[in-house]
Amino acid sequence: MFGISIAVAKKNRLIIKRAYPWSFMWSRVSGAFFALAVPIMLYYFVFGQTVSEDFKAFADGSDYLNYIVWGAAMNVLSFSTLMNVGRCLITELREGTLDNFLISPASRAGYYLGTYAEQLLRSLLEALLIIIFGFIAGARFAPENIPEVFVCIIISSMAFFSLSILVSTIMVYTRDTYLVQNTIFLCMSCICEVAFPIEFLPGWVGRIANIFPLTPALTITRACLSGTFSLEDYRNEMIRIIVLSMVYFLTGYFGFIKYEKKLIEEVLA
Amino acid sequence: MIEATDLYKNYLIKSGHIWKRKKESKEAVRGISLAIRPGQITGLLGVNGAGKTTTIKMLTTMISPTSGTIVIDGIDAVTNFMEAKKKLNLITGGERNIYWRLTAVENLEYFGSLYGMKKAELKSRIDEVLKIVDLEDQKDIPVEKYSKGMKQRLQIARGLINDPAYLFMDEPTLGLDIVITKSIHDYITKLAKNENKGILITTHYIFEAEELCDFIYVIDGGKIIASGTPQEIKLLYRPKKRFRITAAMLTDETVNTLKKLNDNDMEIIISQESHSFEMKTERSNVQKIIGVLRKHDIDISNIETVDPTLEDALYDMVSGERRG
Amino acid sequence: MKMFLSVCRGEIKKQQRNYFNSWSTYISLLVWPVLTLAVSYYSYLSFDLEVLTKIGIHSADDLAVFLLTGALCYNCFWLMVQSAFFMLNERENGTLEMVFMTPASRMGILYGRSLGVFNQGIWFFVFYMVMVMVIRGTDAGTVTGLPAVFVSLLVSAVIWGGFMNAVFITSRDASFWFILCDEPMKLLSGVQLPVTVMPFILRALSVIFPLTYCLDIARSFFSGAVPEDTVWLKYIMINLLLIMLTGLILRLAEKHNRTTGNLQFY
Repeated sequence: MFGISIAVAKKNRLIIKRAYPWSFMWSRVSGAFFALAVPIMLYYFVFGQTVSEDFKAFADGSDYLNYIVWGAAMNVLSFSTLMNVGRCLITELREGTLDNFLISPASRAGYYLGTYAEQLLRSLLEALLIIIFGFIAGARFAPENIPEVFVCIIISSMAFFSLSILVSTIMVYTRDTYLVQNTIFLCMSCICEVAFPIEFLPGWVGRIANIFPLTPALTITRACLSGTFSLEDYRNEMIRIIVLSMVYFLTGYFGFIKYEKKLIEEVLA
Repeated sequence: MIEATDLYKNYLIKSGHIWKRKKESKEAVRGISLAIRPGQITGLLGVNGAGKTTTIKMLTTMISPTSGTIVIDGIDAVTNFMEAKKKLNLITGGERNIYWRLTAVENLEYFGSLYGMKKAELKSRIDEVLKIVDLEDQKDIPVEKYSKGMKQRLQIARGLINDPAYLFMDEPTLGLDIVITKSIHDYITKLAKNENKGILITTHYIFEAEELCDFIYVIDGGKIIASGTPQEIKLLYRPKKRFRITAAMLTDETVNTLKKLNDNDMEIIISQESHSFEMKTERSNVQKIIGVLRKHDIDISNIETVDPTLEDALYDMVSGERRG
Repeated sequence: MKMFLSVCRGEIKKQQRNYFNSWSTYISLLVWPVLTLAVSYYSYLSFDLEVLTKIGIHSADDLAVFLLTGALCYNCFWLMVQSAFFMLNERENGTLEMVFMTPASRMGILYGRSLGVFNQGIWFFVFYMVMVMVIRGTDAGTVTGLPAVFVSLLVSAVIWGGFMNAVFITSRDASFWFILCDEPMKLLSGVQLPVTVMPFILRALSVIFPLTYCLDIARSFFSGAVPEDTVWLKYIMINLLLIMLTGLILRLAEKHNRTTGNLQFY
């Protein structure tokens, strides 16, 4: 399995080196940058750096700038993992190289894992760019919390990877990337506590938000940032991340295996 | 008539990355002059990279020549290209260049509107061109459901929509099977003979040029290396005669002796079964071969002359040109 | 002019036949804007809305109308840009080359393309207007202003769409230009927050976007006032400028195309 992971990572690395997908990265980072610019401008220019009592009550002690900056950064991390891994199969399908993979006995899980490993650094870098921008805009956090935050990010990233396997299957099934990826991204931006506390939204939306690993991942990351994280207090979130990861991985993976037979017929027809 | 005189086209080729741009000039066409007459099919024949596409792009006003003139029925097509466009159209091979989600009629309505045609005029023109290419019964089906041949016929209809005086066809039968190719040929001939269109066709299928064209320009390395009717081209170059000699099984020794005779004057191709071989040479050399075979006690059962084809002529011309 | 109109009509029809009724239009015009709108509305709730009275927003309803107007105008512009995105397909399918083969009016093609999608935008315009009226009530200002808002928005969006189409014709990496034009426009022209509160440098930049003036006009009407003459003047000037720029890009592209056989500069 790891043999195929390494081979896939190598192949993707070479493709990226030759033709770097600048426009994808540029669109994600600039999208997040501009999305962040609006609340930052509101904070400074309209509301004179004061937030409402409601926000203070629901933000678990996070200050406004940290809240939105880390929301945007994790959103970018999640979205770029979803795109990099989620689009891998459909890209092969479009370029006509998927048949070679389908007729080989290569481990499917190994394939995904290789793709994930190859893009990990790149998506972390994209998130880092957002944090740097936030820092310039005035977001500050205590350096001693960074190791904990980093562990948090890695765990979240694996959760995003699990979701991306399901997304990949959906994309191959619907043969669409444009609608699927943008709809998922906008949904996450809206309901996963990226830019504002979930409590502002109607109650039923909160329940939908729980299906995205980004929601608990953000809660834990913010707790780590403000130094209030403890396993007892955040057990529910941790369990949720693990359960969601397993559910997405299994449905995505077995969904693909089940669909694969039909796909082979379609692709090789 | 379309008259092109002394066309040159240089392309600037940029290479390297942003900071170290290298610019190189490449001469794609070097002094081509040609004429396209109404009611005639003119062929532009050449191998890949010979300059066919650049020439056709200049003649259709898509690109301007670096120097030289193109006059289409008295209109200067280099300076007054928008006016010239009204008189011509281009048909390319393959399945691109039409909207697959639209029906034949919708495609034609769109392309017609680009020529500023009025509604009533356009409607009757669409009926007319669909009749010419026999697509009347399938006119309301989206193009994605068409077969390859139907798509190619629609391409022809699209090319006729503005009733152009001159039609350019860039490899119109590319990738089509022999049956469809034959029917497309029939349409092309009909257009020239019945509709009096001046047609220029580029192709690297020699049989196509031989079958269709009234006049042929052979182009290589951006220059015209020969021109004339298909018969003239064959005669003009006078490719060496080919003889097919059938004999009893050749021994290795005979084969070696025959191979030694290969030189500029004589080209001998021995078949796999080693009992027949072809040679391209002057008649006088045949005696030499017969002598060799007799010496080796090999019976000759047949000697026949093979007529040179246009392909032979073209092959000899292009390879001769490149050697020279 | 006759040629322009004929080409424009042909292009509109084709555009509708080729792309209308696709799922992507409905999702991108309905689901996405609603989600984006929700994000900006709820982002405001992190603050004390009373502060907003200084910029003329006195209630949550006012805020909703402010953001709805922003979303309406922005999405009309975006709709036009979507038509430009299809240019990519046309280049790949070789139909773009065929179009440039013809003597068709180039401007007619561009404006026809953007007008082609506007028909789809009408129901979307109605949808937003109904939402505004539900919140605001059908008082005189909102209703009498409607035609003016509609026409000014239509004209400006079509001109913007034509401009974007011209840019997309000449560029290989269209999404780069799209992001370069689209996101700053969304931020600076006052879609989500008023231009007046921005620092001077950003306000100065907002001047170049026609959307800024469309929003000024629409918001004036919806707040029961009539836009000032200077706003109309700026609106006309910027649109004329864009038309000229579009013509210039086209002319350069055609010239470039005729020397190199290639429409793209970049």
